[in-house]
Amino acid sequence: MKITSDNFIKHLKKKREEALQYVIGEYIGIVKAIIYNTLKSYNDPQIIEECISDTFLGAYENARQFEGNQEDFRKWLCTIAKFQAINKQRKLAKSALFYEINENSDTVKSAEEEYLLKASTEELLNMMSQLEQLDRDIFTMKYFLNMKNEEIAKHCGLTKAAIDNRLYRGKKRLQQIHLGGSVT
Amino acid sequence: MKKLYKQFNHVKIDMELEPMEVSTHEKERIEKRIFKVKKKKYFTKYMAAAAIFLLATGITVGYTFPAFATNIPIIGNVFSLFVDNEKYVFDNYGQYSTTMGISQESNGVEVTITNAVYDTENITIAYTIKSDKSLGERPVIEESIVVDEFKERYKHSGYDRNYIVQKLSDTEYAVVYVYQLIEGTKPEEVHVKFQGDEIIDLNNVNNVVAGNWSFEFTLQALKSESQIFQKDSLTTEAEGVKVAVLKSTKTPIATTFYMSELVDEALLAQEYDKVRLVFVEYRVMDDVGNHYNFIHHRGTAHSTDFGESHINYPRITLPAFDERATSITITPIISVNKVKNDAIEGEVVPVKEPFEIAPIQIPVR
Repeated sequence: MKITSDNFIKHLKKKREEALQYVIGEYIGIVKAIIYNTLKSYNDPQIIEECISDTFLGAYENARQFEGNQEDFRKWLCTIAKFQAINKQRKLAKSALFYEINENSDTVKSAEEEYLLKASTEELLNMMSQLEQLDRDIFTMKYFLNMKNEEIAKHCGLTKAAIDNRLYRGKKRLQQIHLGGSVT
Repeated sequence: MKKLYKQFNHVKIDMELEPMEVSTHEKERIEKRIFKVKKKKYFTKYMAAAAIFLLATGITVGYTFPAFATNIPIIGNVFSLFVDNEKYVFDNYGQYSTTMGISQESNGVEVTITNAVYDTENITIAYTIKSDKSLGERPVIEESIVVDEFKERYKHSGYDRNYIVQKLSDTEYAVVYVYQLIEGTKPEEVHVKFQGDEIIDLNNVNNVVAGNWSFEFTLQALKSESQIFQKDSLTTEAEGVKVAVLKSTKTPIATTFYMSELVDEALLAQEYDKVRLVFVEYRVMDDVGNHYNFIHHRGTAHSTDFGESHINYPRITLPAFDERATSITITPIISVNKVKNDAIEGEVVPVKEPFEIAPIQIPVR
């Protein structure tokens, strides 16, 4: 079976290795560009390569979550790349540089905290599902993809003020939902 | 994380970027990395599956598969294992809980629910985990619990969970899981679906075993008796913190106190423009000198994120009291923290030494 631009999505969902190979060959350039743009200041090709492979693995393992056609797939993959890059950036920002001597710095999170953090991501996603589709998208862009309000505005075709407003109201709404619940 | 990938379907950001040049070497390195990770994951998964298959074919004779009854392992009453644990409150649980002994095996890990009890405050489930390899220090089922009687009420969390884990040997563990019911009706009978697709080590969340464990059972409510305290009759207040006890509910196995905490974070921290967090801990004693272990359901906690006049409603579940006791004393211990450098997920540092405020005395006779 030959993997082509018409059938690769189907085969990727079936977890065929050849489809993954095809996706890598086809999209590695754009994925690298997105990740490079976010992480270039670290000037470390190793980190960028790591992030590229995480993007493809993420897409491969979650291929069933994808909905749409080939053009949608490119955008979906770009979004994953952006998310992976931001995620990496957050992790790097948290790890202390080895030449910094600071006895008070305790950047290692306890397992408990790490678990809670993971749980709260899940919880945030759960709660977000109660928001309107548009607000959900805005929240994803803001908090998972670290986009600026201006960028989000441009993407959604709204004014920046409208985005500010929606984020504010959305947060309030989430808080209300959350107060019904618990964080521990 | 699956949900996030689904959510990405809607966002679809169009990156206006030119694809970058990727050298053959670079591409090879990346592919090598991807397929190495992938193989590793799949290899272990399939090996484990194969091992189970071999085991299962041997074992199924004599058992109904997949959920089979088992003799409750050597340990007998699981609750008695936790006596030394600081969260141990289960003195009377063994006597009142329903003995289950239902097992399920998936991916080389056998989970057995030994006891369960529903006292209208909590659903408490004791289970053991047995595996052929070590699962870390504090493995638990990453669970979801569905109770038909609660309908949609707990769909978006809205409950609190506590896990108490005891390591029995390198490959055997006992867990008591307490699921706190926050609000709404407390039916006479609950049909519980308890299931999970991961076993996760709470001391190292990257240590995960995938599988599929799923249990269904029915529990009858124990008798419970509630008392609502008069407003402001059991209150303590100092330095911007107000703690009150609102209600108590007594069941044959435990007593739960419903509390409220109102905290003026700005006043406490003497700072007005930064994120602050206030933790209220408790010490519980009686008037004949016994210290009590308890399960602390913390509620939403306190931080400036919640805005002004936010009240938190924690709960404290105590075991049965000493018969000689006539009152229970709850002492709030307050610690004030702020986020270092204002980072979003940064570390938290104390603003000052934790301090106690005047205790609340609750008559229990």
